[in-house]
Amino acid sequence: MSSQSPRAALRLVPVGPRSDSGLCRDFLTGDAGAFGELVRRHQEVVFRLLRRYTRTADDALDLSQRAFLQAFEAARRSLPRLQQGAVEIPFRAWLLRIAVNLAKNQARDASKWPAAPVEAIDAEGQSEAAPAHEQLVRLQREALTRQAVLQLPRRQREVLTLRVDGGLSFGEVASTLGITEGNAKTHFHYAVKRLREEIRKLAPDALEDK
Amino acid sequence: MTCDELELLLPEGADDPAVQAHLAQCASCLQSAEVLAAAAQPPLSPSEKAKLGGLSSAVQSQWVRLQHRRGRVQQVLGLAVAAALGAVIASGVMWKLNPARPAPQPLAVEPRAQPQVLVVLEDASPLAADDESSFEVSWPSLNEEGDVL
Ligand SMILES: [Zn+2]
Repeated sequence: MSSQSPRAALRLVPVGPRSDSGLCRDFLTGDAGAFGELVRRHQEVVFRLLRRYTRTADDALDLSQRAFLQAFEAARRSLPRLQQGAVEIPFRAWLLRIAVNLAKNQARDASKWPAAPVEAIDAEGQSEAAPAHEQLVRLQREALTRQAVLQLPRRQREVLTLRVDGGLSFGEVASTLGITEGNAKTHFHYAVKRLREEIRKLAPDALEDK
Repeated sequence: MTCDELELLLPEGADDPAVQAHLAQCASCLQSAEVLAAAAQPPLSPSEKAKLGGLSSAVQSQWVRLQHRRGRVQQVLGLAVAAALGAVIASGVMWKLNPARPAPQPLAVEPRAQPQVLVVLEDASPLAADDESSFEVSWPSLNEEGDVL
C-alpha cells in the first residue's frame, strides 16, 4: 500500500501537454510562459508555410510574427468565452489560415522570381564543394517545381502547401481553409496533376518518360 | 490500393511499404511522388533554426507593445469622451445661469468640440490605427469561398 496522501498522488499524475485553448486562456490572463509555449508549438509549421513565398528567412520570420500577432488578437477577442471554460478555440486553424492569407498576398510577387533554388537563399551549412552535375540537375528540377507550385491556382496551391509544407491531414486542411475534406482532396488531386503537366512543359527531361 | 487512394497518402506516406510496393509497379504514381518530393522545401538550415529560436520573444515583446498602445488609446478615448461630456454639462449650466441667451447656442458648441478632439487622437496614434485595421481585415473576415483563379 502506498503511504502517499491523495493530494501527493494527484501531484504525481503525469500532466499532458496543455491544449491550445488552455494556453491561450492562461497567457491572456497573464501567464507569459503560456505565450512562449504556444509560439514554439506552432512556429515551425508557420515559418515553413511562409518561407515558400519569401526571398529571405528574415522576411518569412517577419510574416510569421504578423501571423502570430493576428492569431493572438483573435484569441484575445475570444477571452470572455474562453474564461467561461466550456469553449475550445481553434487557435492552430486560425493561425494557419492567417498564414495562408499572408502568403496569398506574397504569392503574386513570388511567382515572378527567377527559379533559384531555395538553398541559395541561405547557403550556411551547405557543402562548399562544387556540386556534381546530377546534384545541379536535381536542384534545378526542385527549383522549377517550387516555382510551378507558386503558379498553381490559389486554392490548389493552398491545399498542396498545407499538405507538403505543413504536413496537415486532409481534415486539418479542410478546417483551416473552411472547405470540405472531399473538396480538399479534389484540389490536391488537380494540383498534383497540374504540377506534373507544368514540370513537363518547363523541363521535359525533369520527368522521365516511363 | 488504387492510384487515387495512393495519391492521397502522398507525400508523407511515401515510405510506407504498401505505397512503395505500388510505386515500384506504377509509373504514373511514381511521377506524382517525384513531383511532390521535388515540391517540398529543403529542411531548415541551422541559421533558420537559430532565427526561429528568437521568434517567441520577438512576438511577445511586439504583443506587449501593442497592448500598451491599445491601453493608451483607450485611455485617451476615455478622456475625450469625458471632456465632451463636460462641455455638454458646462454649456447646460451656462444656459441655466443665463437663460436670456437663446437655448440652441450651447448645443451648437458641442459638435465643433467633439470632432476636434477626435482629429487630434487620430493624428497622435496612426500606428495604433493601422494595427487595428490589419487585425480587422485579417480576422475574422477570412472565410474565403469559391475556387476562382
Ligand atoms: Zn498508381
